[in-house]
Amino acid sequence: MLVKNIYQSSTHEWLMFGRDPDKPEKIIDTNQYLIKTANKAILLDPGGIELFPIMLASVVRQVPISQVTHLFASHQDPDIISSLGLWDQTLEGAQLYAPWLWESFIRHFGMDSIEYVSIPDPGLTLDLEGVALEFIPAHYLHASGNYHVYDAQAKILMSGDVGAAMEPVGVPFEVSDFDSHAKYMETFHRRWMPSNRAKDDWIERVSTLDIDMMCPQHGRVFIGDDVKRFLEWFSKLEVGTGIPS
Amino acid sequence: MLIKFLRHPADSCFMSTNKNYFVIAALVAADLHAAMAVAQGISLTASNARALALRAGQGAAGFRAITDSIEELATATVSSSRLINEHASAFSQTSADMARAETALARFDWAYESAHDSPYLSSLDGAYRRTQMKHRRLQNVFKQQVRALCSKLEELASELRTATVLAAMSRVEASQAGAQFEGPLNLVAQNVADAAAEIQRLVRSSQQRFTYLA
Repeated sequence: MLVKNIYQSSTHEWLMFGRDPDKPEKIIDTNQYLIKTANKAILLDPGGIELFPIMLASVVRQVPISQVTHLFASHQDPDIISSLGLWDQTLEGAQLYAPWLWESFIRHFGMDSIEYVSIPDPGLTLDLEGVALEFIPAHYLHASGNYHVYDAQAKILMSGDVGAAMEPVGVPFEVSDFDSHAKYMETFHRRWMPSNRAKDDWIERVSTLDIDMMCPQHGRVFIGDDVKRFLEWFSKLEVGTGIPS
Repeated sequence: MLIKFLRHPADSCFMSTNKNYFVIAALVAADLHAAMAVAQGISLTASNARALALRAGQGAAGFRAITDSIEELATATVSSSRLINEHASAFSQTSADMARAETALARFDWAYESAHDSPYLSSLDGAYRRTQMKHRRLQNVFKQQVRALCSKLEELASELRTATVLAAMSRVEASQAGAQFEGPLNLVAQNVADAAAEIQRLVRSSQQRFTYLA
């Protein structure tokens, strides 16, 4: 699995994990993110059960496992958090921040020792050794209880399934040509995102944030002006197309 | 090497014979749940037998005495099978927990090998040991539960042997109850024999499944 340091400051770092060459063919490629401060770390959307061993191996290359004190699940999907039962046997005294709506569902993945911290509908802010991480609502994008992570200091938005692209394996981490990239996002957003109203509400909220990097859970990272391009593209896209009109 | 140091040789001896032990545990639990339902049927048969024997009057006096034994057998069988069923459910849960711990250990092993050059690899040792200890504890619980369950199954099988005797005695008494009641009373005897045979079949099936775990 490839690892890329996407942000580094005196207070914390963002690491991106993905493009696993050993991933079984029919499993969707996912991006996992680790934010580490001096003594703590949070794994964002730690991934599916099939991915666990390679993620574990990748994480211990970066931090001692005892430093992973928090997990975050944007929603309940298996590619997001089905590895929970194994992280539960790995991490002592860790907390999982996840939507209140999905607690009784996510617990089906197995959770004895990790503490579930419910994120309420309006979201909340986690203070990770002085770094403020905002869990901002992204409900219905695509799950009915859904959050993204905004780091105002790093100007990074981890945008879950928003901005995801279905591309061939092994593509670069960053978007280099937005227009040619858009075709890989279109079907996914039209079908997976169910609500234009939810989409517009999210765009309005996110447009007020200062974002240098938008990091989805599948596909490539949007940098600089491509973030704005994405918001414009998304605002024009009709979503919820699963039912023929 | 770290993995060899951490791995306990006893870890693999018990479960390696059958990787599907948690499926076997679930099948045993299902068999014994079915046995409990059949045992409850004996109880109903006993009530019917009592009512029938009363209606048959003096001619079925001998049969009436046997209905007490059928009821005793039904009560004992329902009680035993309920207890066994509880044991089987707990045993099935233990096996599922054990499978999860085994899965975690296998994934940890993979990570150890894959990240052998990691500076923080030893930070996994605590989690590995904890899971290993949990796995061993579950193995011990599992073994105790298998033993207890085998013993209870043997007791139940022994109780059910009396059902064959009761069915034979019932047939003899039924033949003396007069033409009107002989048929229905024989049916009671047959029901007891059939239920006992079915429970014995399920018990034998469970015992057979346990041999795969040995």
